[in-house]
Amino acid sequence: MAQVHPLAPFAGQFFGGAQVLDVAASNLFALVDALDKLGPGFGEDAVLRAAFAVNGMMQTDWSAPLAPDAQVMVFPRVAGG
Amino acid sequence: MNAPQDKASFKPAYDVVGTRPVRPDGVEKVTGKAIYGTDHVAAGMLHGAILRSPHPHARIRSIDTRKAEALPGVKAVVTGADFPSLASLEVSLGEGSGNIAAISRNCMAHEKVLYDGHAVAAVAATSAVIAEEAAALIEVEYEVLPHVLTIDEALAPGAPVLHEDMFTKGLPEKPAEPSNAALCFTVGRGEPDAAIAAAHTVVSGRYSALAVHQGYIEPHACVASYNADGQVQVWASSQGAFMIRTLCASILGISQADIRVTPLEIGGGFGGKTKVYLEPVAIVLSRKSGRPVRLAMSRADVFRASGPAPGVVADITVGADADGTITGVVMEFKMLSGANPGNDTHSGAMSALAHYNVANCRVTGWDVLCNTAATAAYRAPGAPQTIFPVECCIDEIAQKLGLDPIDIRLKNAARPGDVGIMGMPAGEIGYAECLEAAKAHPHYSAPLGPNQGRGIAGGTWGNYGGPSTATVNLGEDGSVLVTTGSPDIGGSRAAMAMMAAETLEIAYEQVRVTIADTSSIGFSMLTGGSRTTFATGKAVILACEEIIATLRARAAVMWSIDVSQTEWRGGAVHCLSGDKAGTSLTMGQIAAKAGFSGGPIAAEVALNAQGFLPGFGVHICDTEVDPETGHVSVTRYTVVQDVGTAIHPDYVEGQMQGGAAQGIGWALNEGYVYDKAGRMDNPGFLDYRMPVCSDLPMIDTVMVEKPNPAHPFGVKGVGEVPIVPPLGAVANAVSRAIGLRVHDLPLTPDRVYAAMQGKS
Amino acid sequence: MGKMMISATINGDAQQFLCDPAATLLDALRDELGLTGSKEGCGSGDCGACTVVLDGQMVCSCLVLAAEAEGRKIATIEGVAEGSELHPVQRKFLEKGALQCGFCTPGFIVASKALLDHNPDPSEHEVRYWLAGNLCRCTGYDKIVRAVLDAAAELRQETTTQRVSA
Ligand code: FES
Ligand code: FES
Repeated sequence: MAQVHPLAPFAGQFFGGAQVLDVAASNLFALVDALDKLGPGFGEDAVLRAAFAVNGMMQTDWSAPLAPDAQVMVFPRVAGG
Repeated sequence: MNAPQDKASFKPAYDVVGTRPVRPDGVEKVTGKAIYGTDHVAAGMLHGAILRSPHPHARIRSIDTRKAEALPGVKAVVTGADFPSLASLEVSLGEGSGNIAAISRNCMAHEKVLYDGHAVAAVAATSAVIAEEAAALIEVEYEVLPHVLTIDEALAPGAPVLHEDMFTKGLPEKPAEPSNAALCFTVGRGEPDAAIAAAHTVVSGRYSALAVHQGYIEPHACVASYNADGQVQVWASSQGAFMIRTLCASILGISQADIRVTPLEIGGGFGGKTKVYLEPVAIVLSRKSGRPVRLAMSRADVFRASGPAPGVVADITVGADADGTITGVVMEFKMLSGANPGNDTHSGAMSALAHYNVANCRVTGWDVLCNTAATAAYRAPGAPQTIFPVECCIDEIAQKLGLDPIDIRLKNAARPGDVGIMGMPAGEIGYAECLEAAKAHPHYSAPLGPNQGRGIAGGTWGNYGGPSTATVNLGEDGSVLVTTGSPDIGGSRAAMAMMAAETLEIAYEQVRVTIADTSSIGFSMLTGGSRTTFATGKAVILACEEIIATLRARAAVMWSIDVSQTEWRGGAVHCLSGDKAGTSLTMGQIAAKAGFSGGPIAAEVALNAQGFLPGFGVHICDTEVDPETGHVSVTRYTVVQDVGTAIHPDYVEGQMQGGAAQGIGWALNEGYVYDKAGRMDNPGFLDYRMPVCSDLPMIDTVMVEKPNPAHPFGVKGVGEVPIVPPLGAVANAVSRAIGLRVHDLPLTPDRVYAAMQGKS
Repeated sequence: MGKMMISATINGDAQQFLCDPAATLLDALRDELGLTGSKEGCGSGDCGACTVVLDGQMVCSCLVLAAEAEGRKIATIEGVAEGSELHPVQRKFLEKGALQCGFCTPGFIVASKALLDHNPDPSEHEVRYWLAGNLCRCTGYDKIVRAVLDAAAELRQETTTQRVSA
């Protein structure tokens, strides 16, 4: 199970303020699907606004394999100049 | 000018990386041949003009274009009615996302104007003079609405609301009423209130900075040509031709394959050219007139209608132990984002404390709208505004505790492995090394004169990677052509050529770089987020590695040996076995026979670059304050930055110096000023005062090279970090020079003088 | 009112062009003569991107009427290099990395050459004040000032060598 830590605004908006969610997923696509079931609407929002860090590294390739014990942070994506 | 000497020991020896060759596009740019936004001419081209709103907030009752259309020479007049009325639709734009309806309405107002300078109609005519004349003949009937210009006005009960459908996001409950607060966002951990209550020393204050413009010298400009079959060409100066393609296609409902965007040379962007303003309008004018149309902004248009960086008001409280350990921080800031929701609140909140270990903190950001131009990214968007109050407070704590300002930062500095406020352990970051290098720099211990003060500030920015495409083709003579889709805004062609030459083990001059149009190369995200040398560079390197593999395979066939019996060295394939052992084939020799082997030698790599690391900087600033006038001059300035590996040191130093100069301008001179009617008071370089050559000293640079393990040559983004520390560095220097703190930027003479008078 | 016909010497060549009475010299150079090396950053005399030399005087071409060029000599960025031989100021800008986006560069080069033409040995202070009318937003001016000082040194060297050999 990957441990997912959704930060604001996602935790409040989709997951009832949950700090940690355990999700079985082989990559971030699967993880987003699973999270969308827990918090309907998250999937669509994630495409537009979410950034993911896996084990401390930003990961923008959602197809990269996810280790079973991965720590995944979800936070808002930011744009540079 | 190079920092830690011991780095040489583990730094791999490069032949090309780290040298300072002349950039490949240099001669064109020093001889006036390079073609920028307004230099491109299309055959039969018309000239456009845009009519802009004189009101900061008004409903458009009607637009009568008949007189304009009747003027001889006028070929097309368009208004919001000529644009598809889009539902609110967000599209993903790589790093961020954008609301297409809002972007479209910002290019051309539909039912409401939201700021002074908002486009309401456009004309294309046979000359610029006629176009201007026609625009002035357009009659717009406005219902003028009350407007808001400041955070207090925007959030006051009963304030006029810009967007009736905007409800604050990020609150526990969706608010009952729409408001001008687009977003509330909080990050934090621990028990900050308790930590501050228990702290040995506490400082607090309200800090502010004004909105400032990116100030690129080249105004926005483009030419668009719409053909009868629906295919469109656009020539534009921007940070991303693909960004223009995506946005124009979405706004106008055109297939991306039908829009070919050719990037012209770009005369500065700094984040401000990551948006479209003119291109969709030029396409619509061209569709209506059947002719290519040029649109260009005047300098006043640039100020009034293209994106400044948001101003900020921040309330901050910081608590520390007697030894200087920061125990708790509470900060609430409000970004003044202008007419549309901004992008700086998330990044501002996440950056504010990213360079320190703070066990207990809460940072709350608000995105507040008002009737000024919609803001755009500006170099490390959001970070200068939120790191400025943090750096000022740390300085005050150091003064209260009698600590050295660098030592207190070292004590609290984020180091590799430390878990940051976002819950992520830091990678190979170099903030502590920067602080050490600053401390060791002669500037730090140089004596100060009367009325002088020295300020220190640190800062950070997250950088980015993301999608890029690069192709590498060999000429029949073995010369190398690199093609990317990343506009070169400050010397990146040179960096690409250098990384290719290093990979291929050939001379820099053997490689030439082209930046292709959107139909000639695969997608690349825009040049922004300090990503180009990192991400596009990685694609170039991998493509060169594919070229090497191809050349070895071709040579192996020519020698009838297994490819494992070949070696790539010095730009040639060497034969290790068989009767040709000891001989070699150069790139030219193999390329010349490409027609007899597998055909042209080419490689294309499209990737999504991972492993980017944040950058860190420490600035040392000396200021002298004139006691008679309050005028502040910067007398000495040093920029220390963790740059990963500097591919071309001149252009890395140039980023550091340019970013510092912009930050100094933000701290001392620059700011948007509005009159009571909501019109910008200083939309020109005379009154919007950017630093000029005689305002600044030499800007010394120290590159701390701590390589990024995720990049073949160790590259980290360098372009954005250097604008972050100057606000705090200048403010701290002034506060030490005059013995009291001025909390509001810019530190204009009247403000500083008034503060000094108040003291005495 | 119709267009005016103007005769002027531009980068050493006798030229004629048509212009509106209200057109600026910058417009005429860019639109009528195709000399787009001079840039428009502001149109109000505040950025120096349009700098040219008019009868030996450095001017902002956006503040000069095209009609005023009648019978006069104009030197633009396009005439700074001698054929394919770069002027030392141009070469030093390249060698020192004194340009990033390059948009301000033509104006800086024309202004710097004008400085060195009448002051072969300027101090850093003099360079900074001479160039104070040219805005650069990319570089922070450091490398520009160094390039101009270096070019001055090289030009002095050349003059001395010429004198010695002559
Ligand atoms: S365009 Fe002439 S000074 Fe700016
Ligand atoms: S190099 Fe860009 S403005 Fe000077």
